[in-house]
Amino acid sequence: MRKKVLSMLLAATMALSLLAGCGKNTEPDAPASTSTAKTETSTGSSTAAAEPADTPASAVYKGEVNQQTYPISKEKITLTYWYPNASSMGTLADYNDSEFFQWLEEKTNIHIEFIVPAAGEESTAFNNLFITGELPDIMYTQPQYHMYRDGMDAAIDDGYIADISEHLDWAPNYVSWLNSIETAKKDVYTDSGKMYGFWSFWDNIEGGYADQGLSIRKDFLDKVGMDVPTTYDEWETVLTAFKDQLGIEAPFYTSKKGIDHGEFMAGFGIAPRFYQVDGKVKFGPMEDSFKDYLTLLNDWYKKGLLDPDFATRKSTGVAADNDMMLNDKVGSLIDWGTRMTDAYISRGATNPDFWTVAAPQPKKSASDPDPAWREVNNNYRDIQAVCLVVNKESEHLEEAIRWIDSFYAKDVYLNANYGIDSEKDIVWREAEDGHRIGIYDFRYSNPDGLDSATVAAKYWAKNPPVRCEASQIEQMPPERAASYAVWSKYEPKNYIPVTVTMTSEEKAEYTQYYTDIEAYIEENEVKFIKGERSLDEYDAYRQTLKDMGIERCIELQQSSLDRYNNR
Amino acid sequence: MKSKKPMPLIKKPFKERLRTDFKKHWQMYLIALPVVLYFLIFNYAPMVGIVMAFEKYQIKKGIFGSAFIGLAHFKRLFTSPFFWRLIKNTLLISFYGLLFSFPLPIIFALCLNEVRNKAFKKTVQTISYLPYFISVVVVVSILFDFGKANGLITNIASFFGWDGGAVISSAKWFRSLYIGSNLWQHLGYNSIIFISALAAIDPTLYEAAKIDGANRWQQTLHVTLPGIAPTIVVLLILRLGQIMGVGYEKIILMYGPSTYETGDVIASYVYRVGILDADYGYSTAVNLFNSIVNLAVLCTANFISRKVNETSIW
Repeated sequence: MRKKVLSMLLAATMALSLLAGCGKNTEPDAPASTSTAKTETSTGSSTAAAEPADTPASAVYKGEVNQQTYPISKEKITLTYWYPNASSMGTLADYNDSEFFQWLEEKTNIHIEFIVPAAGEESTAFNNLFITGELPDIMYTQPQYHMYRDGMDAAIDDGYIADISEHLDWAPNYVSWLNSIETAKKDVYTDSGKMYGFWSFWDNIEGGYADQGLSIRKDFLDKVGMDVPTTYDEWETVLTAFKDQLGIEAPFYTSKKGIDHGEFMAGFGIAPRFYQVDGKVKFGPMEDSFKDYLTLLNDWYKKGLLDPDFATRKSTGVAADNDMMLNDKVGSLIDWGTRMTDAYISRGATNPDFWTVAAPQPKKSASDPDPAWREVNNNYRDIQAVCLVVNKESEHLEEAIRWIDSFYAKDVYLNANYGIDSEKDIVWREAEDGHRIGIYDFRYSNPDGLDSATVAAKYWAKNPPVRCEASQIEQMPPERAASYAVWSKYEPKNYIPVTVTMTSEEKAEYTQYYTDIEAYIEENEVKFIKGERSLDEYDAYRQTLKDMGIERCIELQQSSLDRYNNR
Repeated sequence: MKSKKPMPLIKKPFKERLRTDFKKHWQMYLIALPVVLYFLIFNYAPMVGIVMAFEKYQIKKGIFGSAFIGLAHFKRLFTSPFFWRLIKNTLLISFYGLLFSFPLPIIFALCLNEVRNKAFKKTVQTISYLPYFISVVVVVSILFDFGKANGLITNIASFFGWDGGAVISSAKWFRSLYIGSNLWQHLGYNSIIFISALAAIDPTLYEAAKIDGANRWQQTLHVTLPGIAPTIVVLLILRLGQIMGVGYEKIILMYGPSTYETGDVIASYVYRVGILDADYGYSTAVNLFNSIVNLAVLCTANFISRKVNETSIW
């Protein structure tokens, strides 16, 4: 008998250790009790649209006059700043090595301890902040990727994130921006009239820029004697020439998902996932044109016009693998404006003729009207898809808010975008009318031999809350700056703003369906493109999506969009 | 426990026995303490988290405050379109893994055992387990390089008539590459335990066999194999216990949308919903289901083994 008991026990121990071994994902003892003290408001009860609080008036236009008093803190304090920009650091070891942040520390008397999660692990790292209960004082978030699971309102209701609308008296510069941009209020308040954080703006540009788009190798085009293509047929001719005449490995580079972010498919009147037409939510893969688009890609894949290894590329987003770009293996791709030509040269492109130019969104025939801009990246509008949020429990709540608010004052954001005052005529120079222009050679042929990414990280702040894209564009040679004009000529409509939010109930139901749907779509799109699944089965594929609940997901997207439109 | 005679003494109560035993052997208890603590703290305490599988888990409310929703997560799992595929992929990768990577180290150890030249034997052994020390990230990078459209493996495959492009992004190749690279990496290391078991076989048995006229092959069959049989069986049972436990690390490094069809296993699914989508309640439920199946397989294997050849882990 005893032996049996013992063996049972042993078995249990083994099994349990196995369990525990596999159970890396179970979250033990979330220290929720530590911060439960204040708000016991249940999450997600915020469906009822509360009256947004009135934004205080401001006599200042867009932070022209800095209304903060410095230093912000009499004693030196340290704030922790979650700053998921590991891939933008260049060779910098710590963002405190940045001249701008050193200057800001001196001005504000606030030391910043940067917490930089590993590149590619940002979303996971963001989720983990909430589980460990050790939120940094300030978090730089791109809400598409870094979002509290139950949404913006819940993050505030659950007591993690400070509702900025309660503290606007500490943020006079931000308030001046809210008063200066007509459409901003709709975006900066949540459905229940709270303020999730500090959203980012563009300097002096109504509606912003498209800062990414189609890019093609001009030197290759010259070699094959062709112009920048504008229709799908022209694209095919050009890509074929790249492949046949120049032997380019990836005439058209896509991320591992095989489809673009909306730039290339826009000519088919569709978007990669959710988009809206006149307030009605649509889902790309459910549309008939999506099949046509995949048919095109499948054809191109067979002809070798797409990257034959696209499905195994690491990149899931914008921009190609660096070594492929630098070694002339890519003919065209989706890229950032700041990356064009010289950025690659400063990173070590070997070909002295290396030259990329922007290409317009292709159309089916030259006489078609221009497609809309409906890309998933939300930057091409009044506010950008970047939001700085503050830990509600922060010991230095006021200082943290004032520190962020500083970025909305002109004297600070100029330094953040162009380089600090004392770097005049080294990092930036003054134009005749007194405004700043970055010095092109300093960035792209740096006297210290730094590459362009390191220069940006060392002398500026990476994507500060007020972005002067002019700092990038104006200094560029005209043929490079032209890319922004090419990408930004499309009407920015049909996208779903990043500030559209679901309630926590909606979000829970939505994820339940959509997680599997997204995986299923990604898998099948690759198969359709590679021809592993016949496009004749597209209707069956759509039926599966319906069975998986895509229609409910569209409904949920629709109701959150409706609430947004009624704000 | 069938004693013919009646107990001579009335058994003392458990507490008392423990106390006297503890006084007598307290050093032993002390030695065992760290291990016991380790299991309690790192393996037992976290199991409280399993309740999350039955909750609509919200970070704010914590493990004990979240709303109880019964078996809803399990219902979602069983009705998921991926459910059967996940089970199938997990089992197949495990099964093929077992099929190749279990017997081969034994065969390798047996071969090595026959080698007379000490220096040669040592060299082969060392070289064979060197790959074990390579990080799995590096191994997967090598696979990606060899498996791309014009990579080594793809070229070899094309030579034999394959025309599906890069093998690394082909669902048909996923298991072969996964198991093949595992084998390459672990063959030598996994054979160590058998080599040491072989060394422990009494040499007089071989002498006796030789006198009886057994040739090398017969010696292997009748002396060597029975000698290491207990080791083999115990290791096999332990391996069976992990049949649902395909590690997610290598999978998530290797798979992608194009290879989900054969590469997506329960562990990688848990990783996606749990870590990437922060759906902790659901991912706990999936993992719990996985562990229960695992436990059942382990118990069955052990039961069969005990019945058949009286070797078992308990």
